[in-house]
Amino acid sequence: MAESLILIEHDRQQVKRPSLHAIALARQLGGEYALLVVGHGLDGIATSLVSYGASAVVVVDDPALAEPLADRYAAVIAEAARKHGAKTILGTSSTFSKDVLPRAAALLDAPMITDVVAIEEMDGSISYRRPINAGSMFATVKVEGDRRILTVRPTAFEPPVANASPCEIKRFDFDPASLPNGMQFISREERKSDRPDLTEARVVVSGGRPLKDKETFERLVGGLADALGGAIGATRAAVDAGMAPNDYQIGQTGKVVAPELYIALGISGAIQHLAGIKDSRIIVAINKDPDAPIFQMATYALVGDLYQIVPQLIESIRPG
Amino acid sequence: MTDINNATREVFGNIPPWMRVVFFIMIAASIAVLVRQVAARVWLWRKGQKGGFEHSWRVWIERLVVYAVAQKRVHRKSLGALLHLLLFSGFVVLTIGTTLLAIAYDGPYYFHHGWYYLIYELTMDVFGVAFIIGCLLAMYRRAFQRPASLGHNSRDWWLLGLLLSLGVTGFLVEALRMHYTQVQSDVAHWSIVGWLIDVTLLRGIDPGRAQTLHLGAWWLHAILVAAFIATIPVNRFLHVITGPLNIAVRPERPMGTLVPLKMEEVEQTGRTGVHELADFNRQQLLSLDSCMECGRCEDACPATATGKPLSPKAVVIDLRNLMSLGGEDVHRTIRDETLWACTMCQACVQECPVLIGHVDLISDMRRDLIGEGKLSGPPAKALQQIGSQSNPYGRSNSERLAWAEGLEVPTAESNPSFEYLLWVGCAASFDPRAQKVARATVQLLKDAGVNFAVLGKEESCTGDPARRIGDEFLFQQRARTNVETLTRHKVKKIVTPCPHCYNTLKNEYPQFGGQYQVQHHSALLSELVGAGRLSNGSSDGEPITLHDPCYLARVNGEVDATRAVIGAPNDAQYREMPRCGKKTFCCGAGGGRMWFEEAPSQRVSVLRAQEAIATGARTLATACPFCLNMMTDGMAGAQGGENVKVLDIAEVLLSRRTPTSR
Repeated sequence: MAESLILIEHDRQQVKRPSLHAIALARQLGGEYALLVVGHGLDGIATSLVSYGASAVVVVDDPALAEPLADRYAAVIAEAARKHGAKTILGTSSTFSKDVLPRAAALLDAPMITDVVAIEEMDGSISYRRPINAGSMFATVKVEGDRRILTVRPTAFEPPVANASPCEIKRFDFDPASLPNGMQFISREERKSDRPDLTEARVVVSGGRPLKDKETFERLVGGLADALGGAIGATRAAVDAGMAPNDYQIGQTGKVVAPELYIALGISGAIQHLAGIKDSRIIVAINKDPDAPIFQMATYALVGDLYQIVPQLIESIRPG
Repeated sequence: MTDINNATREVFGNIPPWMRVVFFIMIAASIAVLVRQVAARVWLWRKGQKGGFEHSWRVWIERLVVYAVAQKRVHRKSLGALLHLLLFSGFVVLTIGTTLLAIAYDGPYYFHHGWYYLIYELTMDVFGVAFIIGCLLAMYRRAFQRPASLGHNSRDWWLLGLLLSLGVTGFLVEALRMHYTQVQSDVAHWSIVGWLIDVTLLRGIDPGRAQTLHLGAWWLHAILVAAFIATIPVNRFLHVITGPLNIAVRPERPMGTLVPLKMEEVEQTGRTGVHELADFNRQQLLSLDSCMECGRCEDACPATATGKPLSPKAVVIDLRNLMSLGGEDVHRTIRDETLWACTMCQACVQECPVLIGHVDLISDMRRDLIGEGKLSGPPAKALQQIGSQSNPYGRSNSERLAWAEGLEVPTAESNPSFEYLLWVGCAASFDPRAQKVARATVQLLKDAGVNFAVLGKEESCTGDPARRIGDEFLFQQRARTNVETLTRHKVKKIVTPCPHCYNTLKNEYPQFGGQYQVQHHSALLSELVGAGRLSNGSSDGEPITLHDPCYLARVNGEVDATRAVIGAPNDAQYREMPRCGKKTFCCGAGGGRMWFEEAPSQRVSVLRAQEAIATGARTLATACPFCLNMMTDGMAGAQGGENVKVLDIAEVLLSRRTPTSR
C-alpha cells in the first residue's frame, strides 16, 4: 500500500528528469510513495529509480505498451492505482501527462488538478495552489473524494537526491488482452538533433519566410546554427509555410528565447515575433529591406541578400 | 350608377348569430393562448437582473419609427429585404384594416361606407396581394436559394403555408361574398382581386351555392386566423411582438462602449460577468426572444467567415433555448472557444434589425471566464503585462519614447502649454512597424505647426484590450490611472493614431470622469490638409485602396477623414473595397484577438488581404496600428500580397508632401 503513486516519464533509454520533481510533493503529502513506470524494456530504467526513497518501483512492462497510446496507458495507470490503493496519483506537467492522466482520472472517477505549484493545509484538509491567468494569479483549490490526480510544475519543486537504500522493484502484471484497442500506433517520428535546446541555447539562428522551403531553411539557417553551435528558431510564417516544425516557432504564440546572440535571417520583425526575442543580448538582423522594422531593435543590422551573405558567413566561421 | 354613399358591404351577413358567437369565442381563446404564452416569456425575462432598459420615451418613439416602422436595418439589396417589406406592409395594413372593420361593426358610428369603404377595399386588396407575393418569394428563397445563415426548419414551412393560406382564403371569401351579394360593377371594381376572381373562377356559379361556399371558406379563414394568433409565440413570428419591444427599450449607448461593472456590486454578489442566465439583465433576456433568426449577423461575422466556432446568431439562439428549457449555466451551451473567437468588430450589432447587442452578451460571458481564470496562453500574458508593465507587449514602460529618438518630440513636461496631447498608444510606442507611424504623425504635426506634446513614460495602456477580453478590473485600474494623469496635465484635446485608444478615451473614459475632445489622427490631419497647413500633393499614380478600421468607421462612424488624408476624393486611381466605410470588415485583431493563436486557415487578415488585392491596388492604406500589423501579415499569407504595400494614412500623406511644404 502506498499513499501516492508517481508516474515517471522516460524516453526508453532513461528517465526524464523533470518527472522526478513530483517526488518532493509526494514527500510533503506524507506517507509512502511508489514510482510507476510504464512501457516496454524497462529494466535499466527501473534500476535507476530504486534509490529515491520510494516504497517500491512498480514496473508495467509489456510489448503492448511499447508505444505511449493514451487509452492503454490510462487503463494500466488506473488499474495500478486501484491495486495499490493510491490516494494521490502524481505526474509532471507535460504533453504526455496531459494526454494520459485525464483519461485515467475519468476511469477512476477522480478529480484532477493540473500545474500544482504548492500545497497548503487548510481547515484540516489539503488544498492545492495552481497558477491561472498565465501565472498572474494563483487559485487555491480543494477537491472532494478520497482519490485525486495531480500534475506538478517541475520548476516549483526541488529535484530529489538518489541516496536512499535501494527499494524493491515490483512487476505489475495484467492481462494484455484486457487493454483497450481504440487507438492504433502508426508511426513514430523523432527528431534526432545534436543542436542545443532552443530555449537554453547561447546562440539562436532564426529564419523567416524568404527562406522559401524546408531544404533551403535547413541549409542556410541550419548551416549557420551548426557553424556557431547554436539552436534553430523560426517565425510563425516560416512554420506555417512548412519550412520548420512547430516547436521551432519563436514569438508571442511560440517560444520565448533570451540567448546571448540572436541572428534573424529574413525576418521583418512583426511585434508578435519580437515578443519572443526581446530579452536577447545581441540581435543581428540580415534583411534585404532597409525599412524592415527589425532593424530598429537590432544591435547589428546587415542590409543585403541573405542568399549571398549567409553562405559566406558559414564559410568564414567554419574552422579550416 | 349607384350612389357612392351607399356603397358598403355586409359584415357577418352570411353568418348566423350563433356562429358569430362561436367565432368570437374562438378568437378570444386564441388571443388568450397568445397572451398566456407571451406572459410565460415575460416571466422568463423577469428572472434577469433589474434594469438595463432605456427609459426615455423620446428614444423609444424615435427608434420605433426608424427601426420598426421604416425598418432601417432590414433594407438592403436582397430578396430577403424585398419579401420582408411585402410581408410586413401586407401584415400591418391587413391587421389595421381588420381592426377598423371590427370597430365599424361594434362601434357606435357605422363609417364603413361611401368613399371610405371603396378606398378601404382597394387598399386591403393591394396589400393582400403584396402579402401573398411576399409569402411566395419567401417560399422561393427557402426552396431554391437556401442561404445557410437563414436556418432551415420544417416549422418555417408550416408558418409560410399558414400565412399564404390566410391570404388566399381571404380573397376567396371576398370573391364569394361579392358573387352571392351581386355587387354592382362600379363598386366591385374597387375590390379588384375579389372582382377578378368573381368574373373568372366564379362565373356561372349559382348565387345560392356561392353563399354556401362562402360560409365554408369564411370558417376556414377564421380557423386559420385563430391558429395563426395562437401560434405566434412558438415560431419566428414572435418577433412582431418582441422585435419592436427590444428596439424600443434597448439602452442607448455609443456602439463602442461596454457597460462598467460596479465594484460595489461585485463585492456584494461575488459575481463578475454572466455565469448563469439570470445574471443577464432583463432587457438582454428579452433581446434573445426578439431574434427572428434572419442570419444577417452571421453573414457579417468575420469569425464565422473564417470557420471559427462562433456565430452571433447561434449564441443568441443557444441562450434562448437554454432559457426556454430552464437551464442556468451559460457555459453549458456556449463554449469558451466560441466566446474567445469574437473580434468585437460590432458587425453583427450593426446588422441586427431588432438591435440585439451580441457583443454585450459575449463580453458579459467573457468577464465570467476571466473571473474563473479560464484564460491562458498569450492573451493572458498580454493582460498580465498590461498590469505589470502598463503595456501588453511586456516592454519596460521607460522605453516608451524610444520611437521618438532624434525627433525632439515635446513632452507634457517640456511643453506644458500644449494644445493637443498626442496619445501615442502602446502599439506605436513599442511595435517597430507602428513606431514609424508615430514618427510620421509627429513629422506632419510639426510641419503644420501644431502645438502638441506626448506623455512619454506617463502614458500607459488605455485598458482597451483588457476590457474587450473581459478583465474589467484591470481596465478600470488603467482607466482611473490614466484619467488622473490626464487631469493632472490639464489635457483638453487628445489626438491619437490608434482607433482603439481613440474609442476608449472618447467613449469609455467619461464613465470614469474623463471628458476630453478626442480626435483620431485622421481627423486632425484632414483638418490640417483642408486648412492648407499640410499639402497632400499628388498621388504616385499607383492604385490605392483603404481598409477602414472597425473602431473608427463602424463604431465611431468616421469614414471621410481617412479618405481625405490620402486624397481619395480626387484620385482617379483610388479604389474602394466591396466592404468599406461603416460596413468594413475586421482585420482580425479586435477584441483582444491580436494576442490569440490562430490556425493559418482561420486568419481573418488573409481573407481581407485577398479582398484588397482583388481591387488591383498596389497600396493598402489603413489607420490603425493593429490593422497595419494584421494586414501586413495577411498580405504575406495571400497570393499576390507581396506586391501590395501596407501603410498608415499618415505615412501615405508624408510620402506625398510636396518639397516646398517641408
